[in-house]
Amino acid sequence: MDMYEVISELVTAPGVTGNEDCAADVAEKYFRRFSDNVWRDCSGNVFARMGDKKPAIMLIAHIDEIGMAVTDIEENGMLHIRSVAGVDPRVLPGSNVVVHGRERIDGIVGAIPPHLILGGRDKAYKIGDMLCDTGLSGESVRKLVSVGDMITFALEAPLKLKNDSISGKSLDDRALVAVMIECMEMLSRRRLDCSVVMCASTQEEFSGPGAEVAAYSVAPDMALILDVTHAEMPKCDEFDAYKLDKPVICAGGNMHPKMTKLICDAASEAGIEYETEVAMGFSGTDADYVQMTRGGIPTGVISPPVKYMHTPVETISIDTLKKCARIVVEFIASVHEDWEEKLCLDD
Amino acid sequence: MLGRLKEMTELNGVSGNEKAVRKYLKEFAINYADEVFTDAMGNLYAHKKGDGKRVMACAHMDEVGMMVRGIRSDGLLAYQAANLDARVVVGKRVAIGEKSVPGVIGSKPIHLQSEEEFYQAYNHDSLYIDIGASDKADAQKYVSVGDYVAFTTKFEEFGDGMIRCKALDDRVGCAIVTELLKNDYDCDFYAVFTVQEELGLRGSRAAAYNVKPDIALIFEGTTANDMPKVEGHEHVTRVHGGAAITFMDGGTVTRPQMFDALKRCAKENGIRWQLRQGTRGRTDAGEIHLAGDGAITGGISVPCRYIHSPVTATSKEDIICAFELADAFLRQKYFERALEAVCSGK
Repeated sequence: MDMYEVISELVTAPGVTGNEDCAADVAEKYFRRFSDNVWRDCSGNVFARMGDKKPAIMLIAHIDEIGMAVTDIEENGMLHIRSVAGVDPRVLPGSNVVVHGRERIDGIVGAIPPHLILGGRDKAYKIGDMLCDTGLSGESVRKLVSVGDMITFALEAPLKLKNDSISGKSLDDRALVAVMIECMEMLSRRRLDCSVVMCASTQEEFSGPGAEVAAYSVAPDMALILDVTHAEMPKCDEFDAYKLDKPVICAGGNMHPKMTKLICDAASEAGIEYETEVAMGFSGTDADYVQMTRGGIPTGVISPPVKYMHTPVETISIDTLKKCARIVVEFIASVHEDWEEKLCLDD
Repeated sequence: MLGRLKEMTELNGVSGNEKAVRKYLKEFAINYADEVFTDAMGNLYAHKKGDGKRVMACAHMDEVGMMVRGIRSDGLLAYQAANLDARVVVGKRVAIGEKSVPGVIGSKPIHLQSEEEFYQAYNHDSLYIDIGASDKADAQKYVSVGDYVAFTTKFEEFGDGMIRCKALDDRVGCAIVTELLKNDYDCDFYAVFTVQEELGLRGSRAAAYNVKPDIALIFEGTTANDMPKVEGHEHVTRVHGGAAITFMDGGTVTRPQMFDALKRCAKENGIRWQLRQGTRGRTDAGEIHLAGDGAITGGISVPCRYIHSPVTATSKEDIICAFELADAFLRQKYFERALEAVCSGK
């Protein structure tokens, strides 16, 4: 399977936090290629099971994306907008967007023409100052758009940059949904001593209620969360961000120490260099709440670094995504019947 | 005309590097003009010889953009921009150099920004173009210092009778002038497509000398700031309001006789028009009215929202109005009336 094609299909389907159905449909389509046991729940999560042995390992990558919502409609049809789950308002001026009303409507988030700015150029635009222009009259807009409709960046496939990197919207975290699908393809060729449940989770950007209920219903023995971390770029402090070409394994209270060690071992076994990221408290991923579900679930977090997170030019390396998939598969293959001993913290 | 506008807005012609637009216009113009030539600055002239007054129809070929000014050791590209607010380039796709190498302009993620950073606008010095290069040597395989950088927005129809694309300022003017060039008017007609307007009206200074027109019409995509909460008098122009007629801008004050002639032409022909209610922002008129011992200039503009950004929006109807106004002005020889009025001091 061509990972770029899978990612393109995933990111061109809209799925702002809480409204993930279109994107979830794409995930479901690919899940069905490798599993006969695919289902969805009332929170919108999509699941696929492979195998039926104990232990059950759950893989989680979130399907939702950051976006905006319509909060008011002006007389002339211009839309007031607010961020849903962490859009950086500073990247919005001059952007093509799509309003998901009764139908998909193209729009622009405009910018004040520079000729009219007298001073004040050093101040960032605030989202309350920006409007979405659909080019429609007020009357047409009111027929098609309501307050509460979601807005995404233009539904464009990622741009291919040099060195196997790609840049576009929603790579956080659809790129990892694609990794999960890649893992399914690799796992379909292997004999496993465990079962694996894939979950494309909803509302991660809204502190993860999707993954929390998903973990409750699946009741896995381990959960491996696949989510992005920051890649190096100018003005980022050292240790805040990582090289684009290496997977990152997260360490700290949110991650089970022995499971994390096993993931690191799996990476070494697969001959893949990785970095370690430290997050003492919340990891800022679905692991935050999954770990505390059902009296406690061992969790691990694997992250490919992404540049310019939460912008329409999130940039990631396909090669690093493939490395992440190999670590996941190597880890799953390393789980045998002694798994409970290996994870026991009572030592 | 709109087909040509689509094709032209999808060409890259950043100020100083207008050749793709010039080539396109030249291939069009040779079908209609008696002579087509280019000067040392790169301005393109299409001359339809005639006995009457010398009339110049002018639009600029260049668009706002950037140039690569350095390659960092980490492979990112530093750039210089002209007439471009740094706040509109963040998070956008760009094409670099002759081969249109794809790149993006990224920014520090919101998660890692300090509060102070969050409230501060970006400036070009702190932004970089990312082509995915691993380091300087890798980047040098694909790009060079001095390469021009353009936005990549495609032309699309949207909304009620509107279009969105890049470079409407001033490919919309170019499109109108090409349409005029197809017609025969009773005058010595020059269609002139200028370079470097966005760098300070540099091309038109040379063009004005070379043509020495009696009268010139300048076609522009101009500011439409018809947004809610903006007071009516600050709209400058309104989308769907028709062709915008200029009484003054930052570089010239239109002679009142010319201003009147344009308004009268619109009224008498039932063409939708509006006043350009602003006095700032310069156009090529600022140079052309100084041609030789002076020329009469008039501005006809198409209202464009979000000008000088990666995506601008305008009304198809307004483009047609601007063309119709110019066509009637030339066909019905309003320019002669304007010239007579100016010369007689009426």
